[in-house]
Amino acid sequence: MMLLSLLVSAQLPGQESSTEQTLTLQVLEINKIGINKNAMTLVIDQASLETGAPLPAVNEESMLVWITNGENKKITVASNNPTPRFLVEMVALEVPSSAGTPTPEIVLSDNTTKDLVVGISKASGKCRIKLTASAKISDGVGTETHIITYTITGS
Amino acid sequence: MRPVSPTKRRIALSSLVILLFGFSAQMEAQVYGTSSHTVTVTVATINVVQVSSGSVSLSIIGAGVPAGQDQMTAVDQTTNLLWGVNSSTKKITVSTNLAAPTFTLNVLALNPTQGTAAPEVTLSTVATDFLLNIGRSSGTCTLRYTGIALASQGMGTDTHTITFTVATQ
Repeated sequence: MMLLSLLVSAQLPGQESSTEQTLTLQVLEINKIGINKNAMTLVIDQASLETGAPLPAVNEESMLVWITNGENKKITVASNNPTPRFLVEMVALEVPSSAGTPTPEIVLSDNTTKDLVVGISKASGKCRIKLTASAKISDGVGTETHIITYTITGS
Repeated sequence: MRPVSPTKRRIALSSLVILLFGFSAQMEAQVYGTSSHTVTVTVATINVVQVSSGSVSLSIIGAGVPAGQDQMTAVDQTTNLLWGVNSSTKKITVSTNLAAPTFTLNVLALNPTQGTAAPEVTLSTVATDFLLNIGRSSGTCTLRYTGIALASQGMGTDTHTITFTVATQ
């Protein structure tokens, strides 16, 4: 049936041996961010022999990745812990210059949102996240949990 | 029944022979005179190609895009290409009218019923082989379009007028 219809239509005046199709390709704004470590534990269990103060625990295993085709974006970070007893600091390491600029080390001292990487435009990138936990003798012993949220957003 | 005399029998037989001879002569007279004419059938070269729909919309919205990978894609397989060709050594080429697209657009002939699909084509204004060895066939294939955007290319819209052409291979 198809052959018949094609052959019949071939005899119509003006039949061409080419055809056209209009294709519209639309790209919307896309912002994605992900972290590869869902959970980690920082254990402070060493102390300085000179001062007796607890030594910080450091973790650099987390890898943060992002992509945006928009302009003037930044990555922010926030903890859900409004009043942490122990000190947790964070910095983005090895951020490609084409993918943004890391801010100086930030302190997760409350649950406010803080800038981690700024100046991101039309880029994909990745960096390591360095987390440092420290405690004073006076802080005593204990465990606290932070749920840390990374967000890519407009500057 | 009375016996027929030999004389009457000969007369009757002779009459029958004369009757049959005359009848057959009359039949031959009916086919006298013939006529003929010449019928010429010409099949012209036929090359037809058409798409099942005149327009396609493809949107890259980020669904399924993994963070950290600098490539975002979207695929459309909703339209078909149909063709009918009655001469050999034919192929179908594809081109776009958009000289400087922002984003990459690829097309592939998926599951052609005749011929051989060329490797996936990145569309440009230069006609590029799309389907080979389709000679003397009618067939269809699915048009698989893949739009590719990099983060560095930002947002926007490209509109292509894509032309499929039957050409000599």
